[in-house]
Formats: sequence, structure tokens, C-alpha cells
Amino acid sequence: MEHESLTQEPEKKTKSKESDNVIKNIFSWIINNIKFLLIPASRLDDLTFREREYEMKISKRKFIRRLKSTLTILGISIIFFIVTLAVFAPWFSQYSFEHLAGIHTGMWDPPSPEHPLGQTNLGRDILGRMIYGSRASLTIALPAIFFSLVFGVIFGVIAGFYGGWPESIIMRIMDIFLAFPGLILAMVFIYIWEQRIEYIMLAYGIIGIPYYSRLIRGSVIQARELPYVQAAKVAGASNWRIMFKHILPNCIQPVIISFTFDIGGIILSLAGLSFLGFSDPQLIEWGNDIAEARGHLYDAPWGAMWPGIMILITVLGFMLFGDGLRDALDPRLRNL
Amino acid sequence: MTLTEKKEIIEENRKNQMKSAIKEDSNLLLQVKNLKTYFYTEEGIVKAVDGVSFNIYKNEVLGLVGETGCGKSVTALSILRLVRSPGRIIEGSIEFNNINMLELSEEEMRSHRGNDITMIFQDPLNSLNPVILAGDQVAEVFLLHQEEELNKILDVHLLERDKLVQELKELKKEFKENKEQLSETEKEEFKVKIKDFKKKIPKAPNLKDVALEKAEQIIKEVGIADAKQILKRYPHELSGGMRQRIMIAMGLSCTPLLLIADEPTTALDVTIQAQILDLMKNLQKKFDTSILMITHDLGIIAELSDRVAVMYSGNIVEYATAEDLFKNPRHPYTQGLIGAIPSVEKKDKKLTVIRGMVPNLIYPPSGCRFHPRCTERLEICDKIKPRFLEIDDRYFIACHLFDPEYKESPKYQWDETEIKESYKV
Amino acid sequence: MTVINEKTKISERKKDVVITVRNLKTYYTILGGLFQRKIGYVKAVDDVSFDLYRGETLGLVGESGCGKTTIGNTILNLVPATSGEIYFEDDRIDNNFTQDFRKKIQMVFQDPDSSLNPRWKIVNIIGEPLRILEGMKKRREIRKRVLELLETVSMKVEHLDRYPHEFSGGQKQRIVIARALACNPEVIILDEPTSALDVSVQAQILNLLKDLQIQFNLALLFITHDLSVIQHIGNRIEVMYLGKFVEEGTIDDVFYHPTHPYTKALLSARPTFDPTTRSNRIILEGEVPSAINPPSGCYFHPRCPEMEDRIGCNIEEPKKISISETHHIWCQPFKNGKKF
Repeated sequence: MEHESLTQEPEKKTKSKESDNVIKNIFSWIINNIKFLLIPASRLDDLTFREREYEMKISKRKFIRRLKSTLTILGISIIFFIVTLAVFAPWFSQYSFEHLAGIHTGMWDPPSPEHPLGQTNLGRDILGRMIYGSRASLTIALPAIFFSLVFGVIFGVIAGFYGGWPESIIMRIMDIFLAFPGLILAMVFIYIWEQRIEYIMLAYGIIGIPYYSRLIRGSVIQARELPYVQAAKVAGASNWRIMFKHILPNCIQPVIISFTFDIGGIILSLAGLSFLGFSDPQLIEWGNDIAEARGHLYDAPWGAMWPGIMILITVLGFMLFGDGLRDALDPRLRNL
Repeated sequence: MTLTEKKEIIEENRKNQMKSAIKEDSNLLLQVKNLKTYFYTEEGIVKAVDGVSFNIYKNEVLGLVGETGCGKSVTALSILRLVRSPGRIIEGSIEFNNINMLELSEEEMRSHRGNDITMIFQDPLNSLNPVILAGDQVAEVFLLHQEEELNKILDVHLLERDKLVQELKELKKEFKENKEQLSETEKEEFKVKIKDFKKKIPKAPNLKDVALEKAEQIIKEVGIADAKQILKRYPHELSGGMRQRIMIAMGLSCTPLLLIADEPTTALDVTIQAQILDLMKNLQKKFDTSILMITHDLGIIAELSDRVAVMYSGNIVEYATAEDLFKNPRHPYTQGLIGAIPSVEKKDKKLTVIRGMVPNLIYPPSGCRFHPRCTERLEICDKIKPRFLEIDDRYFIACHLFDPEYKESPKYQWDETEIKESYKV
Repeated sequence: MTVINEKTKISERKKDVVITVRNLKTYYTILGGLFQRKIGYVKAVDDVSFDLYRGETLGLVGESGCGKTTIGNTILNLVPATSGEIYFEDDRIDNNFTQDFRKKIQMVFQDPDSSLNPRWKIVNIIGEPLRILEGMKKRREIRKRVLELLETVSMKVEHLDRYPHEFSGGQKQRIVIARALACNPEVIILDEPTSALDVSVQAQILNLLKDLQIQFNLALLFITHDLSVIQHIGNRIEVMYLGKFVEEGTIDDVFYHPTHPYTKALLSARPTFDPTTRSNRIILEGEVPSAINPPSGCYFHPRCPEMEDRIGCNIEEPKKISISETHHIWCQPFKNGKKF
């Protein structure tokens, strides 16, 4: 148990005994610690049986049990599938990245044994491009959203906590950003900079900041009046410590939920951006593929269909997961 | 005799006892018998109310007292059949004026709610709609439950108005007929007369106006002097005491037979609390209502109630007239509760503490639910549930100490360590 | 140790003042209009002076909105004082509140549910002042000290690593008290520590506070609206109405010889078991006026049942009248020159 380790070192205690016992003791100590960390009920030595049972039920109920709805599991599996595709792309596809980005014969060829989903206008294998395309979506969406999350949360917490003129300045700038439609703003950024993957990420990252800072500012304004914040002040904590150690963990929940939703949203709007031709042309990207195939919907439907399905599935996966996560974290459902 | 057989007999006895205990009385208004309300939650079945029986007589105030989470509010909601899922009333009967409330349809129940039985809540701000004027909210109660009566009043008003209109018409006719004969000044005088008469005639009232009129009356009744002003305010513009008065006005508007008050003064200051309690006392006499007063404050109960029911962990443990109970509390829990209240006599001493914690309602202790905390515990206490017995005239208690059958059971010897541990919660 | 003994002790060591408050005023500005300009003040605390002695319990009693909580917050510098002076022993603290004073003055809040951070473990919650104020760095050291503290409030070792929602209200309040005790404070400000608790749990907490006070020789500033509680635990009492004191004195002075009409009404408004006290109850009319536009003269005069007998209630500010060495009221003299 943890509290034993506090007063006496377990290794010291076991040294005096035989080597067999030492290993056993260390082993059981590790097991106990793991139990202690993972199962709240095992922290209590002298609970009665009934209470222990009750305690176990509570810990089981927590979170994971709530995530166990069919749709959420479907969402998680989809995300897992997409992430696996992205990570192990070379293993799934028989063609290399260079081959898929090269120019080959077989313009808009229908599915064949070599190319199970058909070929594009430059004779590229569609299946391979679908698999590699997941890399582009995730590598742009995740860093972009992390960027907006980190800065959005920092600005939001500062604005919410201090109030007054810092809040006015931060939130008015955010309002200006919010006044433009996201896609148009991204196009402007990319037009000013360059059509490269880093800039696309940055553009999306900047666009996301106001949403997160608005979201967290609201919760911080509510939380800063609570007695535990006063208690932290009485304990002498500095403002930064109060903001990011005391308040933030209590306000991060809606942000996490929105985070999963937004990954889907960004993938979708990235596809839109590529469709409009504002993406990096060197990139293997689902939106790019749809843009190329849009003139051949009748003669080569596979060209637009498969990337479309991939986008649909990915976005759906993240949305379902976000939905499940929200249900699991919703405080209103917690006490039912 | 096996243990199960014995238990059955005990259960049988208990039921018989209960039947005899609750005597037929012509003054009986509400009779709750063996009420059980359970909540089916993810963690298990929360036995919030577990076999509660009590009576409320006409023109009587019953105080239901107990600590947080003992099931007193759930009892009240059960009477009104307002228990929300996952909660359900699974057993027992609630007879109100000889009608079993549990067998009524939802439609019939609604006609009783707010009409015969009303409820006022702890937090008057949340129980008033913030976007509707206070007056309109009171008026709405009349519109919902007393439409017929309002129509009658409206008819009277309209008839009066019709009379006036008729008179005006005649006046005008007279003026027309005599127009030529009158001089200019006389004409002018006549015109002024007609004008004045027109002013006298009120606007044609509708049902809502009548309801508002009644609302004004009832608001005056609850001690608000400038009722007209208050009618036109939103709830957030009123103070806590004012809001609670409005709630009481709404509760009493249909002259209910039973008013359930769930911690009506907990959110208020002491001086305002005294005002409200005083008001409730007077109104109870004036309106001839019975009140079920739910609170955790024994002082309020002592002030207001004729009779007291002490609840612990879903059961009523003691049920008697206020006089008897406060003079000589017999159940160890009631004794502990009264002992825990700071007062002048206990100034230099430590307060008595009921050791241990309120038990979990999912896995309540076996036998008597109070036994793990009880200082007078007998050997039998954790094995058999105490019966709800009438030990004196109208003095009911659920405790083995007063049960002739188990009185002789040996006293439980508390371990030193056990006691020490139980104080540490 | 009986209270009477303690009281004599306090009067013997008059010099042993821990906290001195002189002419404290705390106003909240009201912002309004299009440009959020100042449109007025709420006089939450209006010219208040008192001393808090070592080892005693001073009760601040009043209805909600009378400014009693604001006094506590102002002493702890959570709210800036508008004017006036606050001293800790001999050091002025209202304009120079360093971490050293944070160690000496701690606070217990009203609602135990929300005064513990729901996402933190108990060991971290109680360890927070140790970490910041005492500068303890080692995890083991902190755990050891936290365990000691938990034991002083009768809690056990396995509670260390739990989260607040796993405890009952009484236990949470014990944890809050343990946190207040972490840095060996000399003063604890208790802001309605028992009003969210049940009677039987309240009794536990009050007993605990009494024990701790003797054990650590603490000065307690006990803010409450419940007169019975302060009667049980307090030594001296200050009755407040709309930001001003109306009566001060020892518990015996105020409870057995209440002199100010407001105190009388407050005392008689308590629900009691005793039917004899009920018959001559004073029920005040009306409600507490707003602190933005307080009435002229004595703030209590619109509700005062004894206004007829006094001089100049609605014109002059009430005067401090001494009844005995310890007992003072702020009121107007009688018309017929009667003495209090």
C-alpha cells in the first residue's frame, strides 16, 4: 500500500529476509501499488465487505462503463483503424509514397487485381492513396488542433481569471477572428504564406484559438468565484498556480470533448480546402483526390467515391467518439 | 421453529400491530401506510423510504424531522406522486380523504395537486419562474384550478358593467331627445356628465383580470402590504422573504386541505424566518389547512408542530405529539439529535455526538438501522427490525428498548476500539 | 477547562492581542452604465474596530449581507480594505500582506463541498500550504505531515489518497480544518463552518474546534448567523447589522442582558423548545434594507421596535454607549433619560 511506503521503505524491510521472500515481497509490493493506482477500492483496508462491493461498483461505473455504448465503441474502432492505417501505411500498401506520387500509365483505369480500387488520372493506385491519405489528415489535424488548444486555453484562462482590461483586449481580438468564416480565413492565410503543409497547420491552429478560449473562459469565470480558489489564495498560491493548477483541471472537460469533435471538423474542412485547390499539391490527400476526380464522376466514379467514403468514416469516427465522451463526462448523468 | 418461520411470524405481528396502531379516526386527512419508495440506480437500489407509516389529521401540523438524506423530502414527493425516475413507489398506500392516491390516474392526480395538496419548497428563487411576473404566477394557480369560480366572479363583474353601459345608453338617448330644448351651457354640462360616466365604466374584464384580483387578495393575506406593486415585479426583484411569502400565497390560493412545506425557511435569515413561521401559524388557523412541515431544525418543529415524526435512514423511528416528544424523547436517536443542539445548559460541556455516520441507503445496516451508532444497543438490535409500536397514547416508537418482547434482551457490549473507531468519522 | 476560567485569563493578559482592527471600511464599487463607470458603493463593512485575543473565540453574528464575511476576507487580504488599519500583533497587514502572515492567519469556509478542489487528492489539498508557505519539497515529508494533520482531526491514513467526493460533509469540513492547521497558524477565521452540516455533524465539528483551540492555543474568529452555535463555542461576540456593529460584549453580557433592540429581536427570533420564551417574542417588521442606500441615522431605525423611546434615531449616527467594561452598544439615548 502507498501509505506504508510513506513511513517505511519496503526494500529496507525485505532486506533482512531471505532472497526468495525479497522477490516475493517486491513483487507483491508492485502488485499492490498497481492495484492501488488503478482500483480505488483496494486503497481501503478495513472497509466492510458490503462497502467494498459498493466502492468497486462505483469505480467500475466511472467513465469506462459509460463509454461502453455501441456507437462509442464503433467510433473508437474507426479512430483506431485510421490511426493504424496512418502509422503502418507502408505495410498496408504495396506501393511506396514515391510511386503513389509519381506519374504512371493507366489514366482512370477501373479496378483490377493490381489496383483493387482503380487508378487516378495519372495512373496512381487509389487504395494506396487512401492509405497514405490518412497520414496527411492526421498530421495536419492533430498538430493544428493542439496548437489552438494550447494557446486557446492559455488566453482563455488568463482572460477569464483576470477579467477587466486583459479580458477585454484578448476577447475583442478573438471576436475579430470569429467574425470571419474559418475556411475563408484559412484560404487568406495560405494565400499570404505558401501552399505548404506547415502553413496549413498553422492557419488551422490560429483559426481554432478563439473557439477554445471562449469555451474555457466561461468555465473559468464560474470557477474563479468558488471557495476552493479562495482557499488556494489563502494557502498563498500565486495567480499562475491558481490558474493552471487549481482552476484549469476543473475546466478542461468541455475542451476535451470539443477537441475530439473538432478533429473531425478540421479533417472535413481540410478536405474542403484541398478541393478548392489551396492545399499542398505534393501531398497525398483525400480532398485533393476528390478535386481531381470531380470532372469524371460518370466515367470514373471510383476516383471520387473512395476518398469521399474515407473522409466520411474518419469524421464520423471522431464525432461518435466525441459524443460518447461527452455523455461519459456529463455531470448531469453522473449521479443517476 | 426455524429462523425463517420466526421471521415470518414477526413480520406478521408487525403488520397486525401497524393496523391496530393506526386507528380509524374521523378527523383523519392523510394516512400513509408502509410506504416504500426505492430508487433504482446504477450502483444499486437506494431504499430512500422504507416502510413509513403516519397519519395527518385535519387542522394539524405534523413535523417530519431528520438529517440530510434520511428520506424526508422523498416522502413528501411520494405523497404528491412526484417521484421522478429512477425512483418508484413500490409498496404501501397513501390515503387522502379516503382516496388511495396511488391508484389514481395521472390526470386525476393533477387535479388534486395544487388544489387539495400543495407544496412549498426550500429555495423560493428556483421554484418561481424567473421570466414571469410574480402576480401572473399566482394568478395562474387560480386559472388552473378554480376556473368555474373565476367565471362566476367574472359574470358578476360583467353584469355590473352591463348595467352601467345600459345606463350610459339611456343617458345618451335622453341627451339626443332633449337636444333641441337645451341651451348651450346645459348642453355642455350634459356632455361633461356623459364623459364622466364613461370614465366610470371599467374595461371589460377577462378571466385573467379576475384571477389577478384574487391574487392580489391572497398576497395581501400573506402580509405583503403593497400587493399591487408586488404583482408587477419579477421574482429576482423580490427579497428571499418576499419570495417565500409569494410561494406560500400560491400554496394557499386554492385553500388546500394539506400544505407540504419542504424546509420553507432554511434559506432565510433568523428574523425573516420568525416572520414566516408566525405567518404560517396564523394562516394555518385561518385557512383550516393541515401542514406537513419538513425540516432538519428541531426548534422550528417544536414551535410549529402539534405532532412530530422523527425519521432516520428511511424509517420513522419515533412519532408522537410534540409536547410528549420534546419533554421526554425516548428513542436513542432522538435523544442524540436533541443533545447535539448547542444550548445554554450545555455551555461548558461537550455536545453529545451521535457517533458514526448516516448509513448508506443502498446497503443499510441489518435489523435496526440505527444500531451501529446506538449507545443503548441490545444484542438483538442487529438481527431483527424493530416494530413500530404504540407504547403510550399516540406515542409510537420503533425501538427494541420499548418492545415488551425484546426488552429483556441483554445489552450489547461495545468494544473500546469499536467505539473509538466510530467516533473517528 | 471551564469557560469562566478562560475568560478571566483573557482579561488578565489584555496585552496578548493577535489581531487588531481599527476603523475598517470595505466598500465594493458598483459599476454600471455603458462604460462601466462607478455609480455607487456598497458599504459592506462600515467603520468597524475590534481586537482578537490569543486563545479566545470571537463571534461575528449577523444576518446575511451584513458584511461579516467581508470582514474575514478583508483580514486575509482577499478583498482590499477601503480605509482603516489591520494589525497582526504589531505589524500592519492590510497594505503589506506577506506569505509569513498567510501562515499565521488561515481560514475555514462555509461550504465544505466547494472549498476542496474536486480534482485534487486530499494529500495534495492539505499539502498545498505546506508546499507553498513552508517550502516543503519532498513528497515523503509532505505526506508525513499531512498524515499528522489528518490524525489531529480524527481521520485515517487511507484517506490520504482519496478525492473529496468520496467523503461526507463532516469529513470534508475536517479536511478543510486540517488544511487550515497545516502551517501552525495563530488565528483561524471560520466562515460559517457548520451551517452546511447536519446538527449531529455540527456537534462533532464544534467539539473538534474546541479541542483544537485548547491544543494549539488558537484565536478563532467565528463568523456565523446561528446564535446557538456562538453561544456554545464563543467567548466574546460582536453583533452586526448592515456593516456596522450594534452590540459587543462577552457571551454572558449579550445573551443574558441583550441591550440593543436588534440583538433582542435576534435572540428572541430563535426557534426554541421552551414555550415560555415563545410568548414574548419580538418579530421584526420588514426586511434588511439595501446596503447601497442605507437609511439615514441609525440603519436599524425603520425596523426598530423601540424607536419611540429614543432620541434622534433617524437623524444622528448611533453613539457607542458603554454598559460595562466589556459590554458596549451603538444606539441612541432614551428620551426620558433612562439608563441602559
